[in-house]
Amino acid sequence: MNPSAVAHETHEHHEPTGFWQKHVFSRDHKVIGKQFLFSSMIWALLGGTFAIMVRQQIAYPGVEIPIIGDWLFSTSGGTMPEQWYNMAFTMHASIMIFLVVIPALSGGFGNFLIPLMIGARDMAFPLLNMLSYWVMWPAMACFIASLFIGETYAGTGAIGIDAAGSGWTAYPTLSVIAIGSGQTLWAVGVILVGWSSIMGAVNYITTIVKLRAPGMGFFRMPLTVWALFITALLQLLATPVLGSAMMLLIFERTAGGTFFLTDSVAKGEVFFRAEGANGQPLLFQHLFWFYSHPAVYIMILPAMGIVSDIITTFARKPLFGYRPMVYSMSGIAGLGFIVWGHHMFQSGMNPYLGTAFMIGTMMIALPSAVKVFNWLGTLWGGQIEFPAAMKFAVAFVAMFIIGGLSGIFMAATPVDIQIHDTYFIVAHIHYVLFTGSIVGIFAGFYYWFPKMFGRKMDEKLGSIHFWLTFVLMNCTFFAMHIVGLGGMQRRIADPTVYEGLLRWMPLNKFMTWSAYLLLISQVVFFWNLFKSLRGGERVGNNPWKANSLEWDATSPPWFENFHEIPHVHRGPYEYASPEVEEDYLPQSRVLKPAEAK
Amino acid sequence: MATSHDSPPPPARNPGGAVIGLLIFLVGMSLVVWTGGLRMPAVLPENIGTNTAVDDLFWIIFGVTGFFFLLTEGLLVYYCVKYRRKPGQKAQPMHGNHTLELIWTFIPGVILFVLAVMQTGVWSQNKYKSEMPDPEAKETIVVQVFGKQFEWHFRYPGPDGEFKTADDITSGGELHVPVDHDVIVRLQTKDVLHSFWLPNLRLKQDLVPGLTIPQWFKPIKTGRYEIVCAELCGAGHTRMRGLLFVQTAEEFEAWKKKQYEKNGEHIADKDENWKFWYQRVQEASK
Repeated sequence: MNPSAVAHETHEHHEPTGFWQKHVFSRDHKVIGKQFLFSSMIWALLGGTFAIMVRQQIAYPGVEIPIIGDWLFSTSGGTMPEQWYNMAFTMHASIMIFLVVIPALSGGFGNFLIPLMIGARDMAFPLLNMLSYWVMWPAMACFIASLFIGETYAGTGAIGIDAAGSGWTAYPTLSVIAIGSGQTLWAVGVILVGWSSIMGAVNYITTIVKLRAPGMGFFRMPLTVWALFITALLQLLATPVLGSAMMLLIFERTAGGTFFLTDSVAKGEVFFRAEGANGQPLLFQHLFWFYSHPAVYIMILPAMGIVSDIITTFARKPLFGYRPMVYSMSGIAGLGFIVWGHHMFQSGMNPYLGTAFMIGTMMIALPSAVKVFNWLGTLWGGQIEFPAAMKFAVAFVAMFIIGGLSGIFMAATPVDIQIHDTYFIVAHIHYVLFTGSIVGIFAGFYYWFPKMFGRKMDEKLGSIHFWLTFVLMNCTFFAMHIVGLGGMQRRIADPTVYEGLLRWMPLNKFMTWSAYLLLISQVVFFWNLFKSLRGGERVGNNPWKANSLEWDATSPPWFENFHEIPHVHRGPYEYASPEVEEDYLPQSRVLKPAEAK
Repeated sequence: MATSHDSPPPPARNPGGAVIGLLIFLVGMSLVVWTGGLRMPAVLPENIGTNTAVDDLFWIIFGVTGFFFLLTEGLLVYYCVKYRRKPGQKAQPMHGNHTLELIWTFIPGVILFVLAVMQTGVWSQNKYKSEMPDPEAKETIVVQVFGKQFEWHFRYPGPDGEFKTADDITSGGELHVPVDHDVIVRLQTKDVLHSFWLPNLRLKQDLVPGLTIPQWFKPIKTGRYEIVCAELCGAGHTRMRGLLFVQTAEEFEAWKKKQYEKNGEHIADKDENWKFWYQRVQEASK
């Protein structure tokens, strides 16, 4: 007997009736997925607010912050202290990476979609799944608490002044000597997020390997599932290394670990520790990037999978090169483990290693290029429809091209000498993570919203939201390439200190205003969300006429997803099939002898 | 392919909306590229050294990526416009093409590999110790650079040519070098990570506690330029700015002499000297 069938039959699964079991401490993968998505949205607003504060300070350094300045920075005359600025960009990046993009993509979409797309009733380990969400809460609590704990805060009342302020990379020795508990709380929070990732990853891998519906071979899985599967492998293998780095950092800060401090620092007048300290800060960078480079792919691969599915659905045409897409994602993931050194070209690491990492990094552009060409091949000769989901999906491809190509500049070691730690890299990361991952999240949200809630999101508002976001994000982030090449280093609070940067102040103001508008324009999205949740157009099981198994379930799906576990007869991308009259052919559909030619 | 598009097209359901949007995007992007990209030579900080190969590589990559940017974005926009949904028609059920996959794997692969190989030489010239100018040579200037929150400090050997002796010359915040001479900077930090960046000389290197990292450059134009700390180093990171003075050999010698007279009596003990001079810099900056 098929092992998955055994699992389904022996699985004790009753729909809980109490409010708490049903909506809060739920073990239902669909509820957990939505919980991840909605908490990500709330954190995205906070992360966005920090981003706005950063932009405000760069464009108007030393100027009193309007409206909230007096309240927030009463001791500094309403202007932003530099330590607060450092905290703002640190928390912006930490929140966006650890509490928004990773939870939304693998936590949110991973949970909601994997069982539905492979035809399972739930995840393999529902309890573990529930824990993977609820362990996020102590992490969030750590991040929030760090804003309100500390001596300087107690003295000045400037919220957040004691929170982590050494960048999301938290390089020692700055992160070791940072005063206050904010940096330690930050590290604890990151460990907890990593714990959540690992629990989720174990669950996803087991579910995908063991609980696929009959007939669902690995090469019949939609690319979203493939992407989430590869992402889970990355998370499982890389996250423990981040955890160990954070653990070492905590020991170093609280117990005098001397893993990273060297004699010269430990003996210094400022930070007396011990003589003969024999640590090395580069160790932390290696451990950190061994996770955080794969983390870049953890944040982009699921979006690539989602976008592949959406593009195929709305091009009404089979995915171009299914297997090359799978292989290129695997290639990205595999190579992703041996290129972490490209974050450290100028770090003082042996330059011979730099050469080795450079060649690996150049080569990782290749599978990305293959993916772009295959997306273009999918669009070629299609019958393309453009609902909001498709607009975002196509924008993902357009923007990923920019983010991918700008990566080649940084991969080239000599060019990296000039652009390392400048706004060029800031532009690059935002083209990959905002105009890539976040746009992919929007695409997926518009696309699967009918499945989640049984209603469609408003297309008109979706279109307005798309165009505002699309134009404004390019205004915000594209100019960063230019100021970066123009010599503006990242993480400075006041560019006007440097004569060479004065010429970029008009452009900086332009970016800041674009960023304001970009954040404000998200109101359209939230308005659409609440409007559609209450009064959106009700839809049937398969509003987009798509093929994969989740569209067999009701919208929203029943507690156990499928009344009868579907049997899979073909791959997920049989659009425009000559075998049937319609232009789609669901994976589970049994062709009648008359239809089957 | 052809059959589905040669037939008279029925009126599109969403005429123009997407097209207008994409046109706005293209025009907007070309404006940005025009204002930024075409004026790129003026965007990069002026290069006053011999390290022009970095700029050349930048332009090569700019050309290659620019080509693929225009190609892929162009195709994307073209396909989105050309293959919009026409009611009642079905697309071709095409699952892929083996030859195409090979082509678009092989060609970018070769291009990327060639690009990678092109970097190795310039990288080694900039970073490999074997390429460093001879520090013993008479023409070579050797300077110790210290980063400390949030100041740059520089130390030159005195007439004896040795560091850590009584005739050392120190300078706070200002690096003076003679034009047309090889300069070797030995980078050290007293506290946290810093990054020594000379935007005009295409030189950047992190300062790491416990390591002394040599870097070298050769300025060929006199003038006053900025030294930037490019690695976050704390709440004064923004102000950690130094000045680079590229001078004629005579001016440089005169400056060294003046600097020596200012510091000479205080440098019997190097740490004492450090403290004295650090305090002075602090006072001066107030």
